[in-house]
This record gives sequence, structure tokens and C-alpha cells, in this order.
Amino acid sequence: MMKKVTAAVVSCLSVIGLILLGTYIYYQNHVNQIIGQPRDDTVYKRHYLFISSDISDMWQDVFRAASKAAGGSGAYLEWCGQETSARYSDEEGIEIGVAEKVDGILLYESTEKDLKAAVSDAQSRGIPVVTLLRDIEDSPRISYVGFSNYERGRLYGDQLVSLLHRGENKVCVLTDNGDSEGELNLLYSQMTQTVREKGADGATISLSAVLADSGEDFDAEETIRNLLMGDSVPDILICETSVQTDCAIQTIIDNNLVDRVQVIGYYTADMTLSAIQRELIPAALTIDTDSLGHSAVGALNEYLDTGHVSDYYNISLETVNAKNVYQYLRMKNLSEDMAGGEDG
Amino acid sequence: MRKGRENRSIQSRLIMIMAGMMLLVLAVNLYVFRQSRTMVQTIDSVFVSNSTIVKLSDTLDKVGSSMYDYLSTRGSSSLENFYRYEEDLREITTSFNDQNTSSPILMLEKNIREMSEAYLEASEKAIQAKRGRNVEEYRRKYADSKRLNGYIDDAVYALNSRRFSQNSRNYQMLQNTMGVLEASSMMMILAAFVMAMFLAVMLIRAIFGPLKELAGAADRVAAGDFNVDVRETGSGDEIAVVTHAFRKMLFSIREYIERQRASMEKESRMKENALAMQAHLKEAQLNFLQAQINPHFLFNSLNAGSQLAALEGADRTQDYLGRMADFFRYDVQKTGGSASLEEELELVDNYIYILNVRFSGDIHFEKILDQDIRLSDITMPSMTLQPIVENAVQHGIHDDHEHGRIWLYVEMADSEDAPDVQPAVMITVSDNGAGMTAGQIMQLMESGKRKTNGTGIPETDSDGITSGDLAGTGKEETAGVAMGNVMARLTLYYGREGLLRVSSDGPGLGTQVTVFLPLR
Repeated sequence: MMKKVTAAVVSCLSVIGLILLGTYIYYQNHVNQIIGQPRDDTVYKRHYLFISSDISDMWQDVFRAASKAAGGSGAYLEWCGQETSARYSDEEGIEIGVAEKVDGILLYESTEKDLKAAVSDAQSRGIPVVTLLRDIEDSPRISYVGFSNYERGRLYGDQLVSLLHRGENKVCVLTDNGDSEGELNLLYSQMTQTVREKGADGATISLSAVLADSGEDFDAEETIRNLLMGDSVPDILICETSVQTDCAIQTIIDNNLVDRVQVIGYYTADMTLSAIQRELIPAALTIDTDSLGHSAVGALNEYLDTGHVSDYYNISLETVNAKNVYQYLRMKNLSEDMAGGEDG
Repeated sequence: MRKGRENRSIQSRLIMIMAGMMLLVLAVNLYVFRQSRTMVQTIDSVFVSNSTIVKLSDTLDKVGSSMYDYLSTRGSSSLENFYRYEEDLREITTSFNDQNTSSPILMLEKNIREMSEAYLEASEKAIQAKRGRNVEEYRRKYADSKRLNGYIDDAVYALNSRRFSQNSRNYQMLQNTMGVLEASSMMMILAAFVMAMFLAVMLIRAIFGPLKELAGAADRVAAGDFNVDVRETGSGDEIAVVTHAFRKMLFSIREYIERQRASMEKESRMKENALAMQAHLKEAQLNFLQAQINPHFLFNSLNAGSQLAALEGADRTQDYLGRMADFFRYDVQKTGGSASLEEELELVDNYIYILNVRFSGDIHFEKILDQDIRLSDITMPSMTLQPIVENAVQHGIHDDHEHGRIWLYVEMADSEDAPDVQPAVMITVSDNGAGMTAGQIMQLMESGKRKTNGTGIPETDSDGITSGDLAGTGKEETAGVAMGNVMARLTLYYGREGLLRVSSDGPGLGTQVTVFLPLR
């Protein structure tokens, strides 16, 4: 009898104990997961700030490449304004960088406002600035990573030669408010010179520039639509940004202008590559975003490590057209696979 | 230890079990309460980061407004507020992360921390410029600080959003955990309840089981059944004490009943004995009276005859009638049962005298007495010797009075004669008459035993002493009957058997009847 009672009591106590233990373990695991979330965050010795108000695919790719390069060299790269809902001007971005006491700034100047003072202020506080694709002349920035408009003009000229027809060809170049007059002049002159040199029988070009992106929201799309739906529709439209390219492609498709307007795009976003494959547009100029990102971070690292750095890092431009688009895609996929493998 | 456990009273067992149950339930409740409390604290802590951010935002606003107030009014209280809020802001931001990490949240914290420092620096400079009356400078620094305030606000908002998003996820997880905790708590409470119920049932059974058994046993005892057996519980509690006491009481009752029964049996036997004795005497007297004419009437008549004979001068007749009167007077007087040996011998003498008158002096009777024996001091049952002598006359020498002899010896019995009744007086009546066969002796003795029923208790039948010879109406059977009666009365009187012995060497060789009278 006594044995039965003892067995029953021990059984009940065991059940309670097991529930208690199970609950405790479950509770501890879950609560610890929530309260003391494991700090597996990587700690970096440096903090760089990436400033670009252009958030197109190209700059996304550039940031990704730069971020990867920064992570590999012990630095954290922050895209200014991406965490907050606010949109900051380039100047404000630099000011924020200074206030945050970052270790370096990668700057894509997207406004025509003079940033020399801001760059100087940052530099004076020991924060080096590297400009990307668009240089700030006479500023104390430590390095510029990009291509030369000379090279770009030459490549555009090559494409124009293949597209010109007899008679006058109206060529329109879309610009944004970050482009300096000097740089644009260099671009135009190189384009015309290349056309002239490579010769197009009976073809002349009438070059014009349209400010497609004044800094206002949705400015590019409205400008391009007005331009292509207006009285003076250009024969050839040269885009300077990937956003402009996307807008131009969408407009010629929507308005049945594919045979009428030849669009030379910029950057190989998915839509652009697709358009080339379908021969909606003849070609697009593109840059190696990986190279740009790596070089920019490398410049900062080098400066902080050694105290000096090269003033200019050249990033090569490439033309993608119907002839090489498939090869380009293969190479791109291959490099993405390799990058994915490295990440994994 | 074991003994101590066994000796626990019901009270202490109840207290222990109740205390154990309450402790268990208390422990389970405390555990559940603690887990719930921790859970609530965890939920609180989940949102404490948001509240810190809100506090930061408020403090930031207060720093800005106090700085603006000072720059507007140069009020000392505004300045005091500025420094106080500046301190508060520093205190809050000091707890923020200051490392470069891959966590966007922590990086936001770091940015806020650094920007707050820059903001406070710009604000301080604006204050200093104001105090230095440098208008351009403080306006510029105020503008700087205002912009920085805006950047910080943006970052705080972003941090708050991220924190809130993360905390909401955590809160959801905590809610799920809370559900599991509730379920497990319910199961634990249920298990504790089951155990408590089980123990309560077992305890009640342990207490009331023996009580019920005890009550059943008491019922049976009340109904008169004392052969109940109540088991000892061995629990050492109050019930065990009551059970033990009940068992003892039962045992005592049984013992008492047994004693009473034995005592009553003995008393009953004694009563039966006395009644039988009285019945024998009554029966003997009745038989005698029925057989004879009323002794009183006869005694009075004989006395009257004796007086008449004296008046007429007939001396022999007077003696005869006087002896006759004495004989019957003895019978009348000795109805109580006891007589002295001397009186018994006198009765025998009277009887022989009467017979000799009747048979013209043919009865030869001789008495041989031990002179050392005081006959008057020895008591014995009355009417013992006369029937034996009458037997010797009736059956011994009846057919040959002329040659027949009867001897009566009174002497002290030696150890050989009666080894088991020492000291005793031995009275022997012997004759040289017809004698008896062994079978007749045995029949005679069996008759005596039947009279005492083999247990010393005489049977009450219609047989009794017959002095038929006196009346001339004797029968053969009366000899055995009279001897049996004598034997039975001797047994009853002395409480032992074997006080009368009959022996004979065979037919024609006489008979010897010996009576032992124990002196103690």
C-alpha cells in the first residue's frame, strides 16, 4: 500500500519536475534569444559614409561593391540617408558625416551646388573625401575615382558614327544639374571630333543638351516625355544616367518611337539589357561598378593607412550593343556567380 | 526513524500532508508567478529601448528650446535649463553604442551619439558666442545646431522605427512563449491537484479504513459476538491506540465471560449436588413413610403400648415396645442426615433386638469395637449401618438363622485397607451366610454407582431404604437398592467415592461389607 502511494507521489512529482524543467529550458532559450540576442555583429575599426542621392540600380551596385570592399578591409560603409526617411543634399550628407565623425566619405556629387567648402570642412576635421564619377574641381578631396569625359565622348562618338544617317542628325544629350559646364564641353567636343574623324558619309550632327534632372523628383521622366512628344524629336538620344535610360526606353515603347529615336543608354540595368537584346535601343555605355566600388574604398583605406593616395583612379567604360550583349551577359552572370560563391 | 514515522498521530500526519500539499502548490504558484513576472519584465525591457529613444527625443527638444530661449532672452533660467538638459542628453547618449558594427541599429545609435556630441558642441558655441555678444557667430552656430538637431531627429526617428519593429517581433515571440508558459503552468497545477487529491484520498482511507473496521467489530460485539478479530493497524496513531484498547477490552470481556461461565457451572453443579442429596433423603423418607405406617403415630402408639405393659407388669413386653419406639424415634429424629457412630450402633442394636424378638433370638449378632475410638465424636450419614446389617440378615443368613452369624467391627483403618482415605474409621459388617458371586458384587456396586450417576450426584428414583424385614415385606431387589442408596449417600456426604466395599469369597462363604468414615 505504502509502496503504491510512494510510487504515485514520486510519479506526480516527476511529472511536475519534468514540466518544470522543460518549461524552464524552453523559457530560458526563448527569453535569452529575445533579451540577450547574441551579438554576432561584426565590429569594424572604421566607418565610411557613402553619399549619393542617386539611388538607381547602378548606384545600388556601386554601393554593394564598395560595401563589400569596405567590409573586407575592416570598415563599415553607411549610405547616407538610407536608414532615415529624410533625403539629404550632398552638402548635408557631408555635414552629417562630419557630425558622425566618420573615418572617410565616398561622394557622388549629384547637385551643381559647390561642395568645395563642405569637402574642405570635412578634410579639415580629418575626414578624407573621395569623389566618384564626378569630380569636384579645386577641392581638397583626396582622390577621384571615375572615367574621363574624354573617353566617354569618344565612345559616344563611336556609337553615333554607326547610327548616323545621311543628312542632319539631331543628337540630344541628356544632362543633370551635377554636370559641370567644362566637363560637358569636353564630352561634346570629343563626341563631335570622333564623328568627324571616323567620318559618316553625308551625315551631319546637330548636337543639343537638355537638362533632364534638375534635382526635383520625377524630373527626368517628365523632361524626356516632353522631349520625345514635342515638335523637335531627336534622332539620337544620349542618356547620362540609368534612370534617364529607363525613362527613355519606356517612352519610345509607349509612343511607338522605337524606329524613330535611337537611344544610347547608360549602364546595363536589366531593362536596358533587355532593350538591347530586343533591339529596342542600339547600345548602352556601362561601367564596372565592382571596380568603382573597390577602387573608391581602396583609395580611402590607402589614404588612412599611409597618409597619401593617388589623385585619380580610372574606371574603364564599355559599350554593350546587340553584337556583344549575350557575351556581356554571360560574363556578368559568371562574375555574379563567383561573387555569390565568395559570399557563401 | 521508521518507528518515529510509524508513531505519527493523525493530527501530525494531516498537518504534514496538508503542509506538503500547500508547499507544493505554493512552489508551483511561486514558480508560475516568478516566470510571469520575469516575462512581464522582459516585455517591459523589450520596449524600454523605445522609451529611452522617446526620452532622448524629448531631451533633445528641451536642449534646443532652452538654447533658443537663452539666445532669445539671455535668461539665466534658460541657461540653467540648457546645461541641465545638456547633461541629461549626454547621460542618455553615453549608454548608446560607440562601436562600428554591422548592425544598422547599433550604427544608428553610434551616429546619434556622435551627432549629439557635435550638436551639443555647436550649441555650446552658440551660447558662448551669445555671451560674448558675437551676433554673427551665435546665429551661425545656432543654425548649425538646428540642422544637426534635424539630422539627429531623423536618426532618432529611424532608430525608433527599427527598434519598434524589432521589439514588435520580440513581443510576438514573447507572447508565444507566454502561451507555452501558461500551458505548462496549467499542467503543473493540474498535476499538483491530482497528487493532492490522491494523497487526500489515501489519507482518508488510511484514517477511516481502520475506523470502519473498528465500527463493524463494535457492532458485532454489541450483537453479542465476541469472537471478532480486529487487526492492529501498526500506524501508531490515535486509531491504532483505540484499536489496541478495543482488542484489550475484547480480550478482557472474553476472559471475564469464561470465568463467569466456569463459576456458574461450578455453582450449578454444587446446587445440583445439594438438591440431589436432599432429594435422596426425601425420597428415602417418603419411601419409608409410604412403606410403613406413620413413624410418629407408630412411635406414639408403641410408647403408649410400653406404658400399658408397665402398668400391667409385663416387663419384657415393655422392653420390646420401648426398643421399637426407640427404633422409630431414631428415624423421626435423624431426618437431617447426620448421626454419630454411637447412635448408628444403637440403632443397629435396637434392630437386632427387635429381630431377635421376632425370630425368637435366632439372629446371632456380635459387635467388636475398638475401645480407643470415641464413638460419639464420629459423625456419619444417618441410616447407614442399619441397612447394611439388615442386608446381612435378609440376604446373608436369611435361610439359616440358626447357624448364621453377623459380626460388626469398628476399628481404625490402616493404610493397607484404605490408602486414599487416611485417617478413617473402618466399619465392617460380615456374615457367614449365602455369600455372593463376583457378578452379584459387581451388579451391587454398579447399582451404587448408578445412584451417584458416576459423578457423585445421586439419581432421584423411587428406590430407597426399605426396612421391609421389619414389616415382613422385604424383596430380593431391595437389597441392591438399599446398598446403592447407602453408597450414594456416603459419596455425597464425604464428596468422594469408594467408601463402601463389598467382598465375598463366593456363594455360601459369607459376605463382608466395609464402610470407611474419613475423619477429615
